[in-house]
Amino acid sequence: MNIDSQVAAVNAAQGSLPVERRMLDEVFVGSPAPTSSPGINTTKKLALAGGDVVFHKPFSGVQVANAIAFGQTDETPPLHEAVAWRLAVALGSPWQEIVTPCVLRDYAGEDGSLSLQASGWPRDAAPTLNPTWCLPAAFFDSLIAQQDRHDGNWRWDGERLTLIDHGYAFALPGAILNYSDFVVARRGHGAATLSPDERDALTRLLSDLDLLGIARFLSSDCAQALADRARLMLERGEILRPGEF
Amino acid sequence: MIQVNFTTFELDRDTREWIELPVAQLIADQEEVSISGPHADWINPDLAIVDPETAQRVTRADGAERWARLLPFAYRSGDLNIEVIEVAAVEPVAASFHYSTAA
Repeated sequence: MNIDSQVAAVNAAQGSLPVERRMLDEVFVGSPAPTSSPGINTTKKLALAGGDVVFHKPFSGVQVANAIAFGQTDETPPLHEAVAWRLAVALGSPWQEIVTPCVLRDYAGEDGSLSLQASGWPRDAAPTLNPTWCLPAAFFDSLIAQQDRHDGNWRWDGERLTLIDHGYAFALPGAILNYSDFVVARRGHGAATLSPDERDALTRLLSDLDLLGIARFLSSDCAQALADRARLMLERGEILRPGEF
Repeated sequence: MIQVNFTTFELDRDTREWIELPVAQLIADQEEVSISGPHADWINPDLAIVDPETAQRVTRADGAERWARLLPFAYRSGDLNIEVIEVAAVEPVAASFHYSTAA
């Protein structure tokens, strides 16, 4: 399965939720916000007609050396951004509420991922200390093999947590881990054991040969690794260790 | 000496123009790092960054200036605009957080 078929599968699946329809249908207004690091960051900050602010990461703008350093490819980061959201939607609440919505959409002729801006600010440790947020975030990051969940890759607005930046996720065994702050926090709190809802979510995922549709969005090895992680979590009855991809 | 400027852009709903807002300025001078600005606390001086050239995790202890040059690779969401400038000298900053790797 090549990435074109994975992109086509995501395109066919997205758009059922109101937030996705806004992100897919509304026109972009004005110019993107200026960027002063165009050689490194090709992400564009844009406004949609309805007022949402979004970030477009083109496939052509992937920083190839950085992606390869993480064990990704020159194409997977925008795809994995969108697949993380699709998995959150497939699993439902509470994970759908803590992952920033993301679709695949073109901007100015460039295909890429389009993520909704999250409310709040970075580097607030509050959600790592609150089980309402820390438990589902750690479960999700463990399941998706998130490689870079440092404290700049979530937003906290005083009331709710939003996980952002899932380009470096769905890692394969042996890939580098930079950060997994929620997994570390949950295990540090002695709360690694899966809840009944988490067991149910993993069981639902594994009971479908297509992994609730997610297998069509990933390379076969990434889909297999996802299933393997889910199975291992169920066998052990707890989230995985940091970097256990 | 490396200067890293962090800014963000907010949309003016009336004019539909982007307004640039300062977030923080980081100065890396040999092994010293200082961070100032209205949201200096948004920038993590202890952040490890994966160096694309070596695939190794780099921290401030590996060289403040090397680490500072890698900061754009750590913040990829697009929310923060990051400008890295090589400078010969910098005016003293009135109020800043100061970090040193020296014992």
